[in-house]
Amino acid sequence: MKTIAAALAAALLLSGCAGSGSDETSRGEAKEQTEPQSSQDAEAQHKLADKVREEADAAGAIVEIVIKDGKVSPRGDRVEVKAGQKVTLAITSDAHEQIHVHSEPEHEYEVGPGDTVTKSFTIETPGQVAVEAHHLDATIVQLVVRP
Amino acid sequence: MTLPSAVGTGLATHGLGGSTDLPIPFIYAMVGASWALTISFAVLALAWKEPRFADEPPNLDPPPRRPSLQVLGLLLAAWGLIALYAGPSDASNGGLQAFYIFVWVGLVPLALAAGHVWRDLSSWRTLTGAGRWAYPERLGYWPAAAGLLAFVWLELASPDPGDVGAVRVWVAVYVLAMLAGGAAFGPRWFDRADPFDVYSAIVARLSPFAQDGRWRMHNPLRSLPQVPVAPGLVAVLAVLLGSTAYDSFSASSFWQGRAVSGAQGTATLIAFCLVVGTLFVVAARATGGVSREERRALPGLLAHSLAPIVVGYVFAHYLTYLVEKGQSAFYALLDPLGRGWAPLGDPDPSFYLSQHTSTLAALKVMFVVAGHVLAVIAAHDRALVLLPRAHRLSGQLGMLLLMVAYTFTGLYLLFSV
Repeated sequence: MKTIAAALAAALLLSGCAGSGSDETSRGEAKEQTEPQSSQDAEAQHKLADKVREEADAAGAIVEIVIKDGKVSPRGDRVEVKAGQKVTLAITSDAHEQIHVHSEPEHEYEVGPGDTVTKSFTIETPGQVAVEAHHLDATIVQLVVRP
Repeated sequence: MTLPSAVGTGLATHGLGGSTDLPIPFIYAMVGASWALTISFAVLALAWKEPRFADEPPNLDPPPRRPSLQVLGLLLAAWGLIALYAGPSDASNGGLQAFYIFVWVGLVPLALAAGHVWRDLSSWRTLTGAGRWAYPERLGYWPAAAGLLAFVWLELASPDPGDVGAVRVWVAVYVLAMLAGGAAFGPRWFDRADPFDVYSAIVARLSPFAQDGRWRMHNPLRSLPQVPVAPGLVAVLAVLLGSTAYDSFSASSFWQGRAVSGAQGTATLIAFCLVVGTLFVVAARATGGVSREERRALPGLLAHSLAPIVVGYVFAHYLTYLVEKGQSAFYALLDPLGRGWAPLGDPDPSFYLSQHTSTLAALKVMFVVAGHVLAVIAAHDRALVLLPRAHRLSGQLGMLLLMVAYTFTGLYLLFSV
């Protein structure tokens, strides 16, 4: 499983490098990818995989929230995030609403009619954190924060 | 800032906001369920055939209440009430947090570790005398069951459980009812009608360290059958177990994806308690060879065996809440008036349990399975006393299957939500 992930990560990185036109690097890494037998190569691949994972984490999880006609979407969904990963709420609303993130510490965001806002935060402690719309009395998503 | 009271969340976990536990991994639930099932049938088929734990008569005259604990109880109650009524009117109120965390959840480990010290600590007992009338015994535990239902409704199904105003009203009504009842009926009132006192008294029978209010190491399976049987005992345990299950269930995406009104939430909570209680009554009565009166008495006589399931599930469900939220509540109590007092420095709660998810999941399954095993053994032992010889095996089967069902449901709720 890990090897597949590492190979995949290396392939991803490779395509990125190829785009930048650096022949030498791409040839070097292509070699790594075709011969992953030696432990040194495997280690290099793990490092690459970690790097890709970090970059993905930095971009963070994005939750798109639409409040329209007295309804909120999504409603009660589970969203998987990692502890310490950036979580961004992209909120579009046609009404006054109070978005409440039941984490520790809590976050509270106000949105008004016609607003389109993005709010970001991170959650450090694993657990399930409800994101609620208070005026509508609804759970928008449940963030499942894994270590 | 305070939210307008019309804006109830109804979703705040256990009365207070904040994160909840991750679901336990499926494999943990499976292992726990297999153990529970195997041990259950092993007990039924292989365990002793003569009762072993039912021979100790209960001590009807508990020792006098300890004065030092009475004073401590008065101080703690005064502290909590001052914080609740004179403190800030938002979620940072220390009295609010202490009520939900230390009174409701802390009561269980306290009773397990030190027996029924609630009886010594209870300020309402201290402030009321011997009473004027005899407690009407036909009421049994029903007032306590009603009080517990009122509490779990406040905590889980009321419009805004985290609202300080609502808790202030609830606590005021509770205190007045306890003082009035105590003045009228004396200590018996608290033994039968005070929801927290009754809860503590039942859990205390499971304490291996204390018995009848004094330190004494003993096998808890010997003290558990001594829970005094009275009308409404099954209702008390059904409310405790049903409400904890409802709490898990109401956090599921199935439930949260729906627009649930307050009345629907309340009805569902009551339905959970009713189903748990009714099934227990049916399972307890499902035996042959007993007269009509004997059959009617069976649920009450077996009710004590539900207590370990309740305690196991309460621990699994509330452990992180007690340990982690409890730290914030402790710091909040040090600043009862919300003036920024921090005699022990700034709060720095540790989230050890939440951070070690596998350990936490293993602990939760362990609590549920341990409670289940104790319950099955307690029910088996009592059934040997109660059931006629020809029906001992078949008469236990209904109860055993029901306990397995309770435990499977508990594990299912722990892994699915």
